Amino acid sequence: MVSNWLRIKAFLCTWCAVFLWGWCLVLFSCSAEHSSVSKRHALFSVGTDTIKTFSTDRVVLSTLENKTYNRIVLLATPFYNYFQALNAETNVVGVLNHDRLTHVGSHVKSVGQGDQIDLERIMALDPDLIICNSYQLDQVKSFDQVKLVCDEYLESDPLRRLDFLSLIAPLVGANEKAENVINDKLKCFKTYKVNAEKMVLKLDNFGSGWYEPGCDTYVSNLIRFAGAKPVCVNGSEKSEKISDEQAILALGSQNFLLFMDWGLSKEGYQKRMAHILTLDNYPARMIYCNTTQSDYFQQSVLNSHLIINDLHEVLFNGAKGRFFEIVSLEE
Amino acid sequence: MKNRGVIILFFVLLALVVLELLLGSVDIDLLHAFDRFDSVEGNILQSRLLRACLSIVVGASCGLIGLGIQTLFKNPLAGPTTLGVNSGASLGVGVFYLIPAVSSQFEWLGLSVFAVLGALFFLFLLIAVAGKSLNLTFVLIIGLLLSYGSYAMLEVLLQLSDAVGMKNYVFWGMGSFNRVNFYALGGLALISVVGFGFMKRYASWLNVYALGDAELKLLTKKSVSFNKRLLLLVFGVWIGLITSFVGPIAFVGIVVPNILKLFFKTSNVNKLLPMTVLFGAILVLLADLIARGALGGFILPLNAVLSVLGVPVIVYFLIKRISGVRS
Repeated sequence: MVSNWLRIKAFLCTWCAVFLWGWCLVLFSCSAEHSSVSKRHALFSVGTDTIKTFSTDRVVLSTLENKTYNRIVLLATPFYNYFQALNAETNVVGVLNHDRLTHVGSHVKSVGQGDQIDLERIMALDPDLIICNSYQLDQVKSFDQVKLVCDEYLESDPLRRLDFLSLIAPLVGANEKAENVINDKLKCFKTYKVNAEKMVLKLDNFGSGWYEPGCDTYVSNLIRFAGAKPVCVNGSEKSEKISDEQAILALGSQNFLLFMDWGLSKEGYQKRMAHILTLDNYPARMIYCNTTQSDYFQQSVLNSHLIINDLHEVLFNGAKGRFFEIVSLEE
Repeated sequence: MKNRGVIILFFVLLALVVLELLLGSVDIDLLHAFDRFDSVEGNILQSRLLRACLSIVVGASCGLIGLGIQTLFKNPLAGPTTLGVNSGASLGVGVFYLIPAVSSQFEWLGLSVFAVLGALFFLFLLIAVAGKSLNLTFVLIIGLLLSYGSYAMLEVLLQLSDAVGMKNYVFWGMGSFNRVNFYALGGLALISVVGFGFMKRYASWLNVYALGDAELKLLTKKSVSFNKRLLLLVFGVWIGLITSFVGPIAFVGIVVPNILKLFFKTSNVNKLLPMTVLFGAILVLLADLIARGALGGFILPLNAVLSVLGVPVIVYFLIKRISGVRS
């Protein structure tokens, strides 16, 4: 009798717990509703397709009020360059990775470093608009402020990056200025015919294996725009893992190897590419890119033509450029 | 001694809560913030309050789960990670973030559902594979194997996913309190209260269980296998939900019970329960204070701070255990 009663009690307790957990899930779904809405919005604006058909920028803008925003916080750091181009940097009050930008006004405060966002500093700035990447949205979704979610860094076409000016312009009341800037920048882009004999391979090793860029990545487009043929994975928008055999094969059959150095000085770059040098069959000529020693990343936002022209000159005339130079590994 | 310990821990926790409200990367006038809760300073205070409550809930939960699992497995180094449940939750989150079709089709379900499903799936797999006797050494080995399996699957998913999914998953894995709002806090608090209730109810049983099977047969009529399964289920769902909201929280589950057992020289679950709640909360509050730059000015990933605080303790226990075995 007692044993039965204990069993019934255990049974009831278990069901009570299940019921309570059910309630918890209801509570969670309430909070998930917030994230769902944001996520849907994020997916809409983030998705590569959306960015590629960027003429539909009102999709993003439709979530924003049609007014001038004066206290903007940028979690998507490269956007600062668009504001600068529109002479609207005074509308920006805070930026993530402040120290990665040059010529930032003293009124612009840092709101975090790397990928660690300082929510308190954002709150203290009392922004009226937050521009962030989709992967940052979860962290700022509790803010009441309007959020513009845009994965600008996914845009692989150097020309289409100019379109983001059209997105920013209405937010700061600079539509006319944006048109002028876009037209000016477009004039700077030269069209180079792709020479299939100039093949450029960018090969990375992040410890877990070899990576080759997809054909729809920014670096592949740069090479293409500069008049050479990138060695890349068809139909991919990111770097893809390749096998050791594929890496060796790719290295042996290309004219140029592109090495994008992250070192603060050129000195010791061979150590930083030791993983390639161990393969033995690397090409003798290598294009060295001084990404972190120059303003490469900043220029890649709006002035890709500078990078493209530089690469073209290096590839076809062997000149030493602002960002690129040919180095011989034999030396 | 125990009561004094609880009182001391309580006051330390109280002091840390005050620090959590006072300190931050931005200076605020606390009185003014309390006065005007809807002002900018009030919002900052609200966010600090949310984080303080969340730290207490998460720290207490992780500590309790750790204590429960360690007692159940009779192994001071066992924890949510060794059981494989954390990995199950990670895999669930990985499926949600890294498979674009899943995130677009099932986003209405939310991340937490996937994490809990992942945790439960691994838990049931664990119990099913371990068999009727539920040999705990066997369970521990299977838990570790499941963890490895999960990491392997996540590697594959990471390889196949797009850039956005990959970034989302990586940042979730760093652990952060930024994603949690008051709704989620309410849910997590409720879960924790239910979990604590379970622990309290089964504390005596766990004490007898820790003595050995013979004592257990003499002193309790309850089905050992049923209780073990029930407790595993409770711990699985509990840690799955915590993990889904704040990411995998490292080391708290292992460190907290071990320090308390060493300091207060007791393994009595009943006595350790309140202290585990308090000390777990203290540890996570301290880690959050450091992680959000309130002490040093640098914003750091929560898991990195917890690891720095936790690793030396684990190494100490390993060395102590090895020297104990040798002697």
